[in-house]
Amino acid sequence: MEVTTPVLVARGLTRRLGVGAGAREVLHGVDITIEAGEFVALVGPSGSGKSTLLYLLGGLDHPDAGSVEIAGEDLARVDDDTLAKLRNRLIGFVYQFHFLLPEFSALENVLMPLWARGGGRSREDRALGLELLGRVGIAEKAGKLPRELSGGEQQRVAVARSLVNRPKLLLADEPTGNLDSANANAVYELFRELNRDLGQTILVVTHDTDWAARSDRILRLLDGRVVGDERRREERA
Amino acid sequence: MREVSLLAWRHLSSRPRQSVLTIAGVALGVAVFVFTVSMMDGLLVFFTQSLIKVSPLLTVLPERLDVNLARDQLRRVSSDEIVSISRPPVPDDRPTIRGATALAERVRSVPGVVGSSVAGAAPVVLSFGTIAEPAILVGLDPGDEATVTELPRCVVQGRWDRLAIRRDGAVVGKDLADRLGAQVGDRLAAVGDAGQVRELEVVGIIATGLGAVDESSAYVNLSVAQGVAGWGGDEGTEIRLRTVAITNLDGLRRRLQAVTGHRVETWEETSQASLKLFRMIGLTTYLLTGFVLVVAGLGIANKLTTIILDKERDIAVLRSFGFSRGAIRGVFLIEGLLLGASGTAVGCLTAAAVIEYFTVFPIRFAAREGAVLAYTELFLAKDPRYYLVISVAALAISAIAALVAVRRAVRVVPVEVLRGTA
Repeated sequence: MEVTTPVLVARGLTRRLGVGAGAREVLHGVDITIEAGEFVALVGPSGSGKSTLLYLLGGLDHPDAGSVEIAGEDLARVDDDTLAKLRNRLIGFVYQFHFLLPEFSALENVLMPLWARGGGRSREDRALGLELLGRVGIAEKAGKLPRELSGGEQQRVAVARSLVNRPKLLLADEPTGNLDSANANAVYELFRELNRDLGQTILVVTHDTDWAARSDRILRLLDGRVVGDERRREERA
Repeated sequence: MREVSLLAWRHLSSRPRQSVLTIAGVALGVAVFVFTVSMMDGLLVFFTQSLIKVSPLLTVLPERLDVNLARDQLRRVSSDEIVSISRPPVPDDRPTIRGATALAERVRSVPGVVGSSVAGAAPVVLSFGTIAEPAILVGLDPGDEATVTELPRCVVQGRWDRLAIRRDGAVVGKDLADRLGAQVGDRLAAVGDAGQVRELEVVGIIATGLGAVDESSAYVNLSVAQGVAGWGGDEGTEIRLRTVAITNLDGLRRRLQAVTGHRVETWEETSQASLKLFRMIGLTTYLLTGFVLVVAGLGIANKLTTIILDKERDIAVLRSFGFSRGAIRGVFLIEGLLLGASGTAVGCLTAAAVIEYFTVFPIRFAAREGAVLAYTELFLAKDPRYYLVISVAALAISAIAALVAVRRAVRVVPVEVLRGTA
């Protein structure tokens, strides 16, 4: 029997959005556990609470009830600045839009999370940044500004940036939602490669059924509740 | 810190035109401030120099302090018995110093005093032909006066030392002489307030630059003034003193009061009203030009607010990577300080260059009759403290402007911005 370590443990996550009479509960006590090395797709219709859940799991938002532990660190019990440090140390983010800083080169954007902890300037760090850009296939464009890159290249830079701090968990919110099918496929292959070669744990929110079908595990969310948890690794194997 | 600084620098350098305009605003405020302060201080320095040149640094006045002192001492000894002490009026009570020559000799030996001169000023009407003008006849010993003031050097026509030769000689203020139409060699008539008449010969015309002197004074031998005023041979209205020190004269002033028993006034006290006026004008100017800086500060706040509004998404992304609120605050504070420091540097350099230019090629004005000061050339004071004070003030205003703007940046909640964008 395979022994696995949970990277993420979320318990009883509840989140209300809005204020006053307009407030509504969008997550109703969600429990999720993700083991190290898993490649998980979180799917569900629009408004089911996928992005809200992702932001809670990534420590970008605070739950009204429940807890989130990543690699043993409870994100719900720390102050804002500590949470920022934990995000930096434990989590990598890829958004639907690349969100690259336009004034900085591709390599500088990749190194940005290291800057947050006072690093990113050493030769080793720059080598790591270049290596990651190489891994996503655009090492030769390290010195280019985001506006000089195509949409697909920009998203690759964003993926490289999410990996530079060697995160325990990579969270992606519709990472191919803004790309054509060729680029979307390339990004999927990149994620799959990272998961396979580096053992990177990945949780991707997606509408892309093809993407979901090719992941190890599919979590289905409906009306703020997990209604399905389908493991597919063994099947593929 | 380096990373935070780099973020700040890239924000600014990616909008060169906006940044340059903001820096220009600060630079303009700084340059205007430094130039104005230099001009106002220059005016004050010019006035002070003109004043010191022709005025005694300390003046012994007729008012006696020893009478009041004795009265106070009596009160202290028998405070229960004495209700009031008063001195009956003396019929020949005159605002003069009796035994002025001996007193002048005595104070000359006080350490710190380098020259003394007895003077007597009396109001007269000077007439030349059909023209009559009110004037102040200042009687003095021409030789002694040369040890106290630089009046002899201010003679522009004729000679000061002719006063010593001609007992009826007069050195007349330039504007007064112009009004009378008198020149060197002309004879004037001086009529005192008791009707005494003396004939005077103009032996010199004096131009000191001070309206009070040039407009209304005529210098004569002390005996002439005494005769016109009806005083005795050893009376004067003041003893004029030159001292080693120019400022901080209060200790010497008190010592001289103790020695003479008379009230002694420093040149700063004598010209208090004019000096206060200059300082008031200076203060008003500083405040007005200070507003230019505040406006420049608003420019910085405006520029930063624009950047922050534009960069809300980037701020949210940086926060999601782990940049703390403190780091975000640091980015925009550095931006504010960079703008402020650049503007201050450019402003200081501009002001220094302009001041230097107008020192080498001064602006000249036409002399105006009746002016308090014959200020015919823009006189700019130079003092490194102007630059220090304005730099500190400009950086403080920039920091405050940045802090005001940065509040919005640190309030950015990543999830709200990122959710909104998505």
